[in-house]
Amino acid sequence: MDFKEYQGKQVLAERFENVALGLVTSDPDAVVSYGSEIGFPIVIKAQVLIGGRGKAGGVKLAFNKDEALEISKNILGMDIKGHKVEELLVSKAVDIKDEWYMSITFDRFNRVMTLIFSIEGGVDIEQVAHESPEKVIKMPINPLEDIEILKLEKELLGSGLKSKYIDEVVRIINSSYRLVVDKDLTLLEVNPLVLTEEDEIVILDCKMTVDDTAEFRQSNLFNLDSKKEESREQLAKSQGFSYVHLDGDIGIVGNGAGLVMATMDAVKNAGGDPANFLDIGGGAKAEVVRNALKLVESNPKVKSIFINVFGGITRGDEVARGIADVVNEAAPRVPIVIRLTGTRSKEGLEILKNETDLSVTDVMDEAAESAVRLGGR
Amino acid sequence: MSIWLKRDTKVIVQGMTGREGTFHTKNMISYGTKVVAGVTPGKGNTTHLDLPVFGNCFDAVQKTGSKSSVIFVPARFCLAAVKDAVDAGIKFLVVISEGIPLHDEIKIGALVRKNNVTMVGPNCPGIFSVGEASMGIMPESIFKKGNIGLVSRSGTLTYELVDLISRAGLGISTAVGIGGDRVIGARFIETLKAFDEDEETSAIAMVGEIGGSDEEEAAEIIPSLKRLSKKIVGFIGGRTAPPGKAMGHAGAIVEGNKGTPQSKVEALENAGILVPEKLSEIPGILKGFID
Repeated sequence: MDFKEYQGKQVLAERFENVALGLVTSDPDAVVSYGSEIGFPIVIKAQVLIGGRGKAGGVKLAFNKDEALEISKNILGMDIKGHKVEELLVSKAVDIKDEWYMSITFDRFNRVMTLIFSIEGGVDIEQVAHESPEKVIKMPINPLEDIEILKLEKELLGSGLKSKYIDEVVRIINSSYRLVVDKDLTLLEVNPLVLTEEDEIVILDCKMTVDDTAEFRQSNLFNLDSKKEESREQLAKSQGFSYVHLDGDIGIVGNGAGLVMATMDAVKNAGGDPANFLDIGGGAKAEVVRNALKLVESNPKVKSIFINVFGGITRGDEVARGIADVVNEAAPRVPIVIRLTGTRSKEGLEILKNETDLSVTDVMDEAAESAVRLGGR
Repeated sequence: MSIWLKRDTKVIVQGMTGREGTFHTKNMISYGTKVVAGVTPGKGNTTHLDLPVFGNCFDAVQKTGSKSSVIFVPARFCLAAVKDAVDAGIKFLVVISEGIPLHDEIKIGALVRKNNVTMVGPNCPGIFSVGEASMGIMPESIFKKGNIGLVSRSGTLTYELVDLISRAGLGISTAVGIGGDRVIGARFIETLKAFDEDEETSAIAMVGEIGGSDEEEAAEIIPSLKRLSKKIVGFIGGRTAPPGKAMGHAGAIVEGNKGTPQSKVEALENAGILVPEKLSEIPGILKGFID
């Protein structure tokens, strides 16, 4: 799960004193009175789960009450790459001497967490990494040991960080890594980590992602987001399967991410467009299959549904039970094509044959073609 | 013959007393796998499925002499189970459990690398040596004995392809589902090398998917294989999947352009491997290698 800037900062504030927290509000008048209280100029930032908001006009400086009111009204409701702005984060403007970049993220190539640091932070960090890689430290962290401090100090010096800031930056990096491990974060990015004119180091912005698979031991973090919207994705997650909404009209239900992706590929090859990705996961019970099918059917664009299950840990009879229940509850709105094979598929086919009129094939490409045909292409 | 898992491999099942563990251990035994013991913390000195159950791997290894274990425990206990196995001297580990937190997976990966343990998984269907033994959850009914080695990041695509290969009149030596998680033990590289050394395997099918760089890294070592460098067919699942949304810059800085389907297909094709768009084209290509 991704956090908005202010939520990430709340988490960071448990361990750091130098976080620019400020006020979170959806009320322009509150922005004005907060500005009067802390003194202008203030920074007003859109709170959305997407990068590039500065370039989209979602971050502005206000020098007085009138500007604060106008800017707040402009940014609230603004659409940034499909994300509607509903909250603002307001804080005192700081005098920036330098912008640094720090992140700790999962590195698939080394299969560990990796620290990235650069004294040339800010919005163009990817360009810096591309054009002057020597200015960007990348240090994989051994999960069975702590960060090697001496090596880190050497690398920081080598990247051009002045020696008088080394101790403080090492302390920030170390605490950040502890936080990442303790809170099951897959990403912590501070960009910029700012050096102010007063020579203070301040966490001015942050992006934070917590590992969804760690929800059972990080329930505090998962409860942070009070404004959680019930999208199809979230509804799916709460019912124990994963769903990604797409633009096409062939609904897809399958087991195992790989097979579902191959199912989408097969539908594309047959000339159709998938309406969604839906993986019921391993060992899914009839209940999950029933909810999954209902969710796909609830998408008005869907013209046919292709259920593709290859039983392993998932049992064909459980899947068939779920399908039969939905179909018998109410006749399906759209044609359903089923491809069922593997563990207990014989029993499953028996259930479908005895309790429904649905037709079943056991070859994936054929099933994809008939789903696309029945979908009206 | 087979790689890693043989007819005479003695197998310990961690989590054997659970629902999934029980169901799949029965299947493994009925296929002929030499399951020698179960391990469930707190249930030592009991029996289950007529087999001894130990409270930890150390006792199980001491009493049975097994060096191989398959793990079915719930995700949250998996790191502890792997530690238990590695400390007890297990050298071949299959982890079926799915949904393990990333930081646990990172530690698991580092532990097995440090101790030279070959691990298949996590979040995988396991390994199936046809006519010999099974560690995991692959359905035996789809397999026919033959000399195709199969390695796949996706569980269900493994079954799909095994089924297609069987229907085409070909058969499998060993099928390995290496898992699609962010951190896995054996990758394509290690598995391809193992197949290269197995005289009974005469062609390989490798099934990759988008994300990570395992396919690209495998492409680099394929030309150096001794026997099979020209007898591999590849497949990349998820070619039409929309790219995921990136949060922040860190991913782009670490990963660059690797991980896209284009990058994988290109890397494999540059290594001289055919990468058909449809899974159903694979058996025909394999036939060409064998004739």
